[in-house]
Amino acid sequence: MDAVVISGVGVVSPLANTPAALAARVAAADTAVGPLAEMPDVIGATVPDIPLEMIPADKRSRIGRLDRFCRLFLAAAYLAMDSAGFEVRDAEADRVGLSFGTGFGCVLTNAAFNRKLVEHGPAAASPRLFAYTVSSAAAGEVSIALGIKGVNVTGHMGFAAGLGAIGYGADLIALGKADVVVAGGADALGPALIHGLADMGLLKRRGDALPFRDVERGVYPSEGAAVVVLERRQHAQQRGAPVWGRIEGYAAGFEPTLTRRQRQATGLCAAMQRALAASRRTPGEIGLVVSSAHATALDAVERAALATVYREPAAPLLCAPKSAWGECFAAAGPLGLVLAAAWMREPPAHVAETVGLELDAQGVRTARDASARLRRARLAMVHDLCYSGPTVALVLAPEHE
Amino acid sequence: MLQGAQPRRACITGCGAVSPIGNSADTFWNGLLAGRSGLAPIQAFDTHDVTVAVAGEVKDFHPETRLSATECEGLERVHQFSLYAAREAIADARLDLNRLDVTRVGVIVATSLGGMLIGEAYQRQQPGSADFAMRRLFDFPYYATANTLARLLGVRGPTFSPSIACASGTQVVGMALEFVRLGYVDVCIVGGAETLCAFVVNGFNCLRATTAESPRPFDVRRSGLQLGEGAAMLIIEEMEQARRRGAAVDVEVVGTGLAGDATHMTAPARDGAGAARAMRMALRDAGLAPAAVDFISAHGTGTVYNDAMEGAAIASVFGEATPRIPVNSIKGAIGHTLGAAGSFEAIMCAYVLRSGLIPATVNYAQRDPACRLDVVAGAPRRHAVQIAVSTSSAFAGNNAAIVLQRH
Repeated sequence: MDAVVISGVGVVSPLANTPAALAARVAAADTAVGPLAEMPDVIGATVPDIPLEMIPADKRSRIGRLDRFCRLFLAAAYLAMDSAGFEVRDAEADRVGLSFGTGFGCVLTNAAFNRKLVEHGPAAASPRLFAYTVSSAAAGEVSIALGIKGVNVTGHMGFAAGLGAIGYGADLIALGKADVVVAGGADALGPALIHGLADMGLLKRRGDALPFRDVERGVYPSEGAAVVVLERRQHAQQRGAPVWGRIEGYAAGFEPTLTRRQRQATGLCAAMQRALAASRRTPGEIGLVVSSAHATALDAVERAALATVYREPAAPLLCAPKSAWGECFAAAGPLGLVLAAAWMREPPAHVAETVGLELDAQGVRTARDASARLRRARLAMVHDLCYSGPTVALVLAPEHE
Repeated sequence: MLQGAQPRRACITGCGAVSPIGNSADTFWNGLLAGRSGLAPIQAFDTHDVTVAVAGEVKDFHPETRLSATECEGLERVHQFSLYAAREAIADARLDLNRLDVTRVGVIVATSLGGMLIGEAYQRQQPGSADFAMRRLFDFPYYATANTLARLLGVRGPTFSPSIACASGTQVVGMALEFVRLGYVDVCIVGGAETLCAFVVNGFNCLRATTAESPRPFDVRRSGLQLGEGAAMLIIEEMEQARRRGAAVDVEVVGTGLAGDATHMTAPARDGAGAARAMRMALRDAGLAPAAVDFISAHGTGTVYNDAMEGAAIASVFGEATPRIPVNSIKGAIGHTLGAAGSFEAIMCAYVLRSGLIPATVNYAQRDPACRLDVVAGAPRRHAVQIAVSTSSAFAGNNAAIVLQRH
């Protein structure tokens, strides 16, 4: 089976809208997390500017009807296609697929549609809004904009949906269902979601909680989108495409205890170990782990899983970038993947002291020689888990490895 | 990812249903054979200003027969439906989850708007009111149905909630086949679940997709769809494992296909090209020629455009064989159950393959001269079916198809 490679990446995030800037800002320990401009009582992060200008003029007429969720996905998809230097031709449109993941999907549009019903009755129901009350609306818009006619999948795996969608995209290529898959995750933030999270008690109150070191209920709500173009290596080579990395292995699982007080790491361990097995790699070969930790009680589950899987002395460098971009739900895993690809492609000259972490006997500590270890990293694992149970792990290699 | 060359095969070993015409897979099937319709005036919410207020509601649902008191009290209606149907499917498959490696048991459950009852109640609450329990919001997101099921069943394999709207219930079956082939799972608990709510009913009404008359899929007088609710769950199992434990392995899932129209958000591509691509992909996946197909379970919503599109799609895939292949739609019997629809149709197909009986399309009476399909009407048709295709289409231009084979 031909390898599945990443030939293009597109990011739209609170921190940066290019992979290079994203990688540099995370390495420098910059953060976009802070009081929201529209709701200063809430600590989180939003995308200041969704880059829609690269959408061709003849495709812009639909933008006005799109909600924020669709716009984020559409912008990231265009950026990824541009990065890959790929345009869908009619002759191969049915061999190009979409695999998108989202946590809350079109919840903002759902809330807007329902608000009209509640306040004004059925006569106020808007057909224009109702068309965008399905999570697949974003992938539908991307398929219309880019002319993609192959497999078109939107899926939910809690907040792990974006990374899961990339794994499934690689599977679709492995199964021969597509030659190219545009895959990624997105979630949009807005008042309706923030109010809901607040009512659920899921907003963090203090602004400086650090992953693996602090435990505080809730998240710094955020948003974003990250999309990659996946293709068979030969397909990429034939068209002279750039290669950001190779998906070596992927696995998904579920941990039913994450909503209980006594949480177990079994499901996350299984996902990590199966991703390693699928890539035919040993834990000792992983040089970098991009984690899902967000300074909640779930960090302990991640730490336990990491300690179980990476028992060898040469434990990987660990990075928890949600301090930089907040909890952007299903966008987080794909952003982590782009970060890992960008760092391994062009390691930063310096990694700030608080960014590079490593396991120790008691927990997690600041890593020694983080910059040098990142330069030596030849394989990365990106993993994601959601409070509701889904777990995903993916192994990434630079193409030259 | 795919590692081995040895093909792993998947079969349907259990079914469970909560439907507008019966709350078990057998009663659902018998209702289809009897030509029953579960469509009636909506009881679940106030409909005095709702333009079309007829739908297929689940009736006489007694969750306590399969759910614990805690589950009956604490679970949302959509989760009760899916858990109830899943436990029936597990029992039907004679599956003991305790004897399996639960990291190799997956859950794939679709819903279009299953949590919307919660969203409605949340947004209806008055400021400062304590009527709404905020913990219910954890059950609101799309992923909650699959994750709740996985948590209550104690499984640790891949858990996924496809969201391609009304084609999701077909996709779950195809995805389970892929997961088995890829070696991710030995067993997959799959299906779809929906609950009727004002949000959905008013949404389809405002699109003018619904009808106050009886829905008549493929009939020349068809004027729209009516909605439905329920849950349809299947156990899809790796064939050798199923065979080893003595389970029925007579219905195999042999192919799956997905395709996008890339034309419109709510209307199907008029030429049916997307649906045709999905069916062709599924047949290619199964290694079968269109001429091998003996029965097609259509999406058949009863709207003017959907049924015309499907007629065109089927004709383009099956060519001259089209008039010889029996086709039906069950949406006149249970309504359009959105994310669950394809899973209900997969259960129906499994029963068709086993029994050699094809249920009639409820309310179909008058042929559409523009449609070349052989629509089963009036009474069930006895017809030996070796290969069945089930097809679904959805908002956002999504199309899904699966191929089932009898052994």
